[in-house]
Amino acid sequence: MSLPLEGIRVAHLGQGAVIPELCRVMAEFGAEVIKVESQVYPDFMRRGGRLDGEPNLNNSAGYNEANRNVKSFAVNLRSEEGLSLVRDLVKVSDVVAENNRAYVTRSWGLDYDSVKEFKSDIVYISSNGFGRGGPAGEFAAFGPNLAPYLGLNYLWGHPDDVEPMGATINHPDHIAGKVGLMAVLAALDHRNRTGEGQFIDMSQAEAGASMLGERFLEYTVNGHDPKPRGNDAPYASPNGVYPCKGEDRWCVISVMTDQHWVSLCEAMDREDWKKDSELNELSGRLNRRDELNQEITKWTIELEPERVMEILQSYRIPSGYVQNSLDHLADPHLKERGGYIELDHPVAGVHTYPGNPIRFSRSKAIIDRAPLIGEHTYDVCRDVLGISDSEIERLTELKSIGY
Amino acid sequence: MTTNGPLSRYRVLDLSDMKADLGTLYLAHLGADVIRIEPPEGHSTRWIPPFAGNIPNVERSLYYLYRNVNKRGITLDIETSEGQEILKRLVKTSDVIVECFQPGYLNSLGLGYSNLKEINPKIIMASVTDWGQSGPRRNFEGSPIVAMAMSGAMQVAGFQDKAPSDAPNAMAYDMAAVYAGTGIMIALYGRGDDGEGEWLDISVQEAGIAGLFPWSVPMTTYGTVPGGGDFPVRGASMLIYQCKDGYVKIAGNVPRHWEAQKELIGKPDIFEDEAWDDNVFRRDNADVMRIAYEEYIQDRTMQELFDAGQELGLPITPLQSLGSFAESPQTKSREFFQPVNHQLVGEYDYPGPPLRMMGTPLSLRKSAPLLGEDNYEIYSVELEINDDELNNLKSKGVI
Repeated sequence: MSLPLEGIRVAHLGQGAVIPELCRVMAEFGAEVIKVESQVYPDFMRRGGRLDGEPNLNNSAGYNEANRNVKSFAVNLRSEEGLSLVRDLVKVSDVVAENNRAYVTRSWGLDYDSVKEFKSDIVYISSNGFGRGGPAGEFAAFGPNLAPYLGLNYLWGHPDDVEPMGATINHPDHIAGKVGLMAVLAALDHRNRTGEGQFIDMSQAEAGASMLGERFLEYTVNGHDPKPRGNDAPYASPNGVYPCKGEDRWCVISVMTDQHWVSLCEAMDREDWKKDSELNELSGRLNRRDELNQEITKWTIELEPERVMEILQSYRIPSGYVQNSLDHLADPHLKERGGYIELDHPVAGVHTYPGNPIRFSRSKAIIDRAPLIGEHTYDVCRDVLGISDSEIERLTELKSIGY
Repeated sequence: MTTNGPLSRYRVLDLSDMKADLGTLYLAHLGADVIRIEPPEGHSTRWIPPFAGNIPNVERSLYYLYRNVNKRGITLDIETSEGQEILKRLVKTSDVIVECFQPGYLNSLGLGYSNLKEINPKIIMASVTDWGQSGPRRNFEGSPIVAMAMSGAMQVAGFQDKAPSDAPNAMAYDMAAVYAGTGIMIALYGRGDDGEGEWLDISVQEAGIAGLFPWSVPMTTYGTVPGGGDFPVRGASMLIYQCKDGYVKIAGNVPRHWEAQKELIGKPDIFEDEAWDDNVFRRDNADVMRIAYEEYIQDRTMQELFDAGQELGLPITPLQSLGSFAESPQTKSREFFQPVNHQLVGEYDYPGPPLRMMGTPLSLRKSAPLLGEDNYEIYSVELEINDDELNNLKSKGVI
């Protein structure tokens, strides 16, 4: 059967994480995504996140995850002929997706204002760290800059940490890629009905901030600039991460409801807690959380984290453990659902990648490996741009393509 | 100017909880008519603290107020047969239904996907659950911190001598929510005006795993995120640097950024060794780099470093609190925060849509619904339920 996004062609001028993720998800659901890159101007992700071995543009774990199913069209953007080919590609595309600094696409003559002159119904998304316009509208930023910038790092930690280190997760990236894709599909739907294209200006910092909206209201409504609260939550107690038997092994437990609390008392055999009327309500459990956390730790430290989950889930209490990626590989639940998949890549070899979490009853995502740099240059020239073999040969000799 | 956005022709029935309310919020921002359906006593998220003015009240949870702007709201007890009939009538005129109940719950009420597609073959149903609709853990209980731990994100969060630390929001849930929103848009686009719907099964755990990028493959290959040197952090790939009035983050991914970094700090001798030109070497020795940077950075302010970095084309950003971000010139200039007037809480600034669509402008059109605020509009005006029947439903506690 056909995939939902078949028939959409995307000219992918992005790099890094956000726009590649947006494009990858489209490609896995049937869109034809043609990524413009070259050896002189490669996606920076091709240089970072590489696995063991010599530097090689085809051996980046990050690139090879973010660019699955995508076609690589190697064009030299420093040549006029190369730029002209990209303009031809845009003319036969539905979407332009990019995350360069504004002056870069302007210098290529491929910014929205230029593109709409020759392709008026294009849906064009620009994703920038700080969004367009304003004093920082032309500033550079990568994913790791934005968690600190928008306040996420500041809040992500224990109140007594020596510094606000946060996590090694580039979180605004992942929210931004998906919010951007929602907007692109909404804009395509609008275009199909009206014939009108449009420009979408996304701020990756704002995308990250929009996931912390209620925390921002603590500031704008209550006048309180939030401080780190560690693993405490205002809606659950006890709620936290507890040490278990083994090296650096931790379980997690959340008592979200009064029923969970009664069950926890039973699971831990704590009749005294059950009789303590103060603890029957969330407010009492929040006030006495330090005491509860200490007592729970005495219980968990003797047990393996998987065992804690097993016991508490049998009492229907939300619980689990801090899984690392090796736990994931051994996890029978993820295995049964296909949470991870293996892909073979001619340079990087066989590795385990996350699957696509979007599971439909009918349309199944098609997941194929990322391209070698320039792998589809000839196909794109011939099949998409209609260029003759002799002309392809001439452009290759000029180093306008395949470079 | 108040406009509706590009999805104004679509209707979404929102039976979600914390696992998908951000996804339906984005659909509402894009203009969809999102109807939040709550039990008559109110949705559980109305009781998430803190509250506006710290006054606990069903209308004052900051969480609910933020995540339900641009949505309408009705009350309905779907565990009653009358409530189920009304929901089915709403499904007839809707495009999407989003739910987060335990797998099998809606089926037990005769409201599963197979029931609803009989009524409306075009309906797209998104089910967002902690573990997904299949697999041995499908009936396990979950929570925001459990989801974060099981997604693998906490293995790289915090200092090594303490418990792994959770995000300051329900982050794995929000990941699932945006995957649900994205899947809904894909299915809507693929369906067109006449096609068949889909049932979308989103597992929070899998959505959270997708957030490990770009470290997933290194972690499944090596069991850890490489980098950070001996600094005692769980998998830090890029460290922060202390400056005069706070901290900054420096991200350099390409060769010219490395040149710019050396220039910024006055080209210290230590970096003359060309081993430093390799980004993997730098990643593995981030702790050494940090010490070399301190001398320059400690006497400068966040703003000075932000500006100096941009002068050199080097991404340096200040580490800000939420308040500082909200007050920053860039945020103000883009009008990311917009005033929303709620009739009981008052008028305050809320974060708005995180993107601008020039052809179909987005805006904050309305505040979160009061409990049952749109009952009259939807039940009497749209479904044309007469007053007698409506009073009957009220007295039975259905609405």
